[in-house]
Amino acid sequence: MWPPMPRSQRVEALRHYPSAHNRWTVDFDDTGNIFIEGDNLEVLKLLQKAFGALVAAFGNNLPAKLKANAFAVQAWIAARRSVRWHGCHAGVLEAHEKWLPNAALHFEVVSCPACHAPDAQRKVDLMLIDSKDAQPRGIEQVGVPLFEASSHSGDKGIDAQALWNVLQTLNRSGIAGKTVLRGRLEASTGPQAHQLADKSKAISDCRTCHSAGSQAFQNVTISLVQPQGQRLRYGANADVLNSPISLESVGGFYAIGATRIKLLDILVILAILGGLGFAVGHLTLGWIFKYYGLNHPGGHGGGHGGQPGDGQGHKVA
Amino acid sequence: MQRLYIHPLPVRIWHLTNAIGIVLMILTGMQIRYVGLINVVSFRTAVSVHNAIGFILIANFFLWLLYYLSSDRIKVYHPELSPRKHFLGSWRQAYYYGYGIFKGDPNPFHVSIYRKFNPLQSMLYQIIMMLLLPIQFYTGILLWDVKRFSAQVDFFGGVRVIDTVHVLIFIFLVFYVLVHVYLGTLGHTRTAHFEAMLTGYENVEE
Repeated sequence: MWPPMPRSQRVEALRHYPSAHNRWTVDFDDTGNIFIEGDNLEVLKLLQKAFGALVAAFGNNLPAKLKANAFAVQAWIAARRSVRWHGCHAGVLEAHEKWLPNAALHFEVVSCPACHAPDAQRKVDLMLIDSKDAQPRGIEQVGVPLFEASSHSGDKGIDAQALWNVLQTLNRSGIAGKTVLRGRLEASTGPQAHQLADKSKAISDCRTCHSAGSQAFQNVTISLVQPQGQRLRYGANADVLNSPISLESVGGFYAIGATRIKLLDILVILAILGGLGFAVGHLTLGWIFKYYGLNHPGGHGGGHGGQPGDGQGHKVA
Repeated sequence: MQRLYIHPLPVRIWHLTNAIGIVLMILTGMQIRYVGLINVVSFRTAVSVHNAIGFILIANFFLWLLYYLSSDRIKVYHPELSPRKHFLGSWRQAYYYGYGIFKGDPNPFHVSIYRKFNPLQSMLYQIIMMLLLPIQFYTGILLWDVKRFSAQVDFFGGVRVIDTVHVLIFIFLVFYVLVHVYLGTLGHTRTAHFEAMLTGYENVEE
């Protein structure tokens, strides 16, 4: 049952609403169908069983119009008005908003199993999408050779510089549209994503994900979509989430505390040392001038007229 | 010594609120950014307190702005329009802080009711009040509810860009607060400027 909300919100909710299995997107304006995208065909088959005749096609059996518009789709459900899946988790956003700051954002960038399968290994998937319509980029647009070359740039996968180079190539002048990365925290594997625990055991401690070195951000993949709808993933160096070079390329994914830019930490330390050093240095210079008699004791103050290093400021007669 | 009423009550209230607020923002900001390394309060508490104080500071900023826009005291913020005069004044003041003060030279700047900032303060405070704090408030609001303001966040390049700007200004404010407090001790006594910010009255040379 649809909760009472404007259609635009429903669309938005559907676009980002993560099911336990796949992502749901919707195209009311064009085809009027709800799409389920994902790479777990087995689950889609189960969905077909659950929804009966509503799940009408898989993968290559998609109507040409759908294929042209959404190559990531592995199944589509016609007669959307009959779909009641939202009712399974009705009120879930509101429930999270009670305790989770920026709950709507968390829903967008964190899949449900990432927290509700507490024993699962987590990874960040950076998906190449079109910035305008948020549709995934496929290998037709991106080209596998470009990625394969980049993935050899380091032992730990694509690094920040290689990723930046790839995006620069994809967005070079003369190329229509803009390719960006959409980050999402997910369970590492399908089977792990299904190890859902009781909600009392779900991860709710912010430190789990927001601490530096959090396990959740040690595995990073960059994905694009194959013509059949399967995801093609390339391993990336975890540093792509912390590097200043990623400021532009991974601008849309950021976990405060965990994926912070290390260069800024150095600046924080320099600011503290600089501020304290300024005061200590100034006081010391004042003391040296006084100790060696380089000051003239009858000097005037006024305004900021005190003399550093004289213990109690410079009294003006 | 002449006793001048330099800091009116609204300015003192604003300054005190700002001082306490910014220190708390820095502390809770540190807790948020370095959770795991600093564990004084929980992450969630730090975020809630940070957000609440942020809105208090934004309201405080507009009270400050309203006061000065409706008062002739706004003259204290009028910039020196002659670049030469401003440069020379800034140089004299920097020379004084860097060398003259140690020798006991007189301060080249003399406070008056409508001219309470020396050239260095005048320039710095305009940058802080009219540029850095508004940017800090704006980026803070965007980070407070990224989803609601997603269009603006995306326009500026994403949440990482917004956060980086927010943190860069935070870093500047950390440095600024430390230096500001130290320079506050350089009155005719160590506590003269602090007392003036509480009572409103400053003792200046006649």
